[in-house]
Amino acid sequence: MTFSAGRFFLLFIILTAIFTTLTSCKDQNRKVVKIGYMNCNNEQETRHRFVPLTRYLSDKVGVEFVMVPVDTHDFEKRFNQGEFAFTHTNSLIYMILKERNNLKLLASEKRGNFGSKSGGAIISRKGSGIDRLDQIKGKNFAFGPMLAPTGYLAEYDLLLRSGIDPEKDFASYTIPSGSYKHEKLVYGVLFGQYDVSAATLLDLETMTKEGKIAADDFNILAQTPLVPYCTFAAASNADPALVDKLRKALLELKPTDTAEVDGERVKVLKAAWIDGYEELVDKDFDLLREMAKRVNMPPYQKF
Amino acid sequence: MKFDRFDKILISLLAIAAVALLAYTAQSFPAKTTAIESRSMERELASQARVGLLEKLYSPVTVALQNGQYQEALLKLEEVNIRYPGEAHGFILKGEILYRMGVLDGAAAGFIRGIKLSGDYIDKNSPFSKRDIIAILVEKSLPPAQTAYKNSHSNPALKENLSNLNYLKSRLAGGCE
Repeated sequence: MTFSAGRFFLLFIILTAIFTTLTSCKDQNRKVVKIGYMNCNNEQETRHRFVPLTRYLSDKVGVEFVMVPVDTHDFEKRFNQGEFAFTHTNSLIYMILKERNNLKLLASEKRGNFGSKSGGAIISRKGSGIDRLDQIKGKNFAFGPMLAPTGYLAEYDLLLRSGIDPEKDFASYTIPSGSYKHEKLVYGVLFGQYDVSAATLLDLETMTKEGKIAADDFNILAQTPLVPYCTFAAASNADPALVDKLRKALLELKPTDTAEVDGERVKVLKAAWIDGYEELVDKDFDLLREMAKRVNMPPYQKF
Repeated sequence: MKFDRFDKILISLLAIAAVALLAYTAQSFPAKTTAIESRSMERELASQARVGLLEKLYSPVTVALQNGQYQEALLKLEEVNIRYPGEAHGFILKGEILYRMGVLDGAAAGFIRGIKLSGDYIDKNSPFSKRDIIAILVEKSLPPAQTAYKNSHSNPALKENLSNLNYLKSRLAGGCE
């Protein structure tokens, strides 16, 4: 038997082909699991923030997580259609899906001064003559998006508890259109479009940090209690072992953890604007439930 | 004993030298004391300048804090932090604001970051001392934090909070880094 250079080359080609096929088969065999991400401002921003995290979770958990950006108002419908088994939503959407579909809580995001919780405020422009909450009756008011826990629900509840009925006591009230509704509220008050508005504390904090606004631009007329912020959850029929692995991966995330996106190593938490994850219990959402009942909002809405 | 003229000259020279030495020593002692005093003075001046500067820089925050406008105080603190990130005084003020807002785990985290940068904040003789408020925080938060961690060992946030409170407790007891 003779071994020529040509035969060695042929053997090398065959072995390489077998190895490549096996490797790609392994990748293809990874179970595909979809995570529905609620769009906060718009789909582009959601992708930018959460693609690295999704990639990291895939590597860590050993399944192929696929990111599905979802508009807030479509979230429940698409979840019910079985489009995704895992969810990343604000606390109100979690609460609705928990009530109606027995969603399982995984881990909650920590961001800003209050960690896994945030609150809302009622603001007016400094120098506008509106310095106290009892002066806002008869004014033009703006709320954040209707399914925003700290841009709408918490402030609406605060107003009701303070003896102000938004349906009767304002000259008018509105919700800004399009994307970046939360920032539009703050700028709307700053530039005189609205007399008073709801504002999330996290947005005020972030916009101040970024130099977009100054603390002295606004009067904070009232502040809501702190309630849980965005959270990961799983469908009740999701694989319990996968649920545990995903929870563990989220809770163990550190600021130094990276994922590869388009050939670039990206810091996962930094890209997602998150400080880390914390394990909350469903009872932590009770305050929000009480608010939703008082405001007559889903999942407790009565007609 | 009889002194000749040469002896008298020697004695005179010795006397002059002794007087000169005394005079020199007398002159040099107060001079050395002044140098030590001036070093203490410099330290005191630097310390007072720091107190004055921090009070001035953070006065919008402390005024809002004293008026009970906690959210405004946090926003004003963000503004100061843009210019002076990582300053111990900022972390301590954040701890105090969060404590007053009832966000006790965040308060403990803030105090720790400040104390690790400067032990002045736990020293009862320092003008910046926050020892009393930290002691109350530890007393109030430690028992529930221990119970919470016992009930959920797998929760890293509870573990971190308990570890923060234990660290503050050890610093209050006189322990150091």
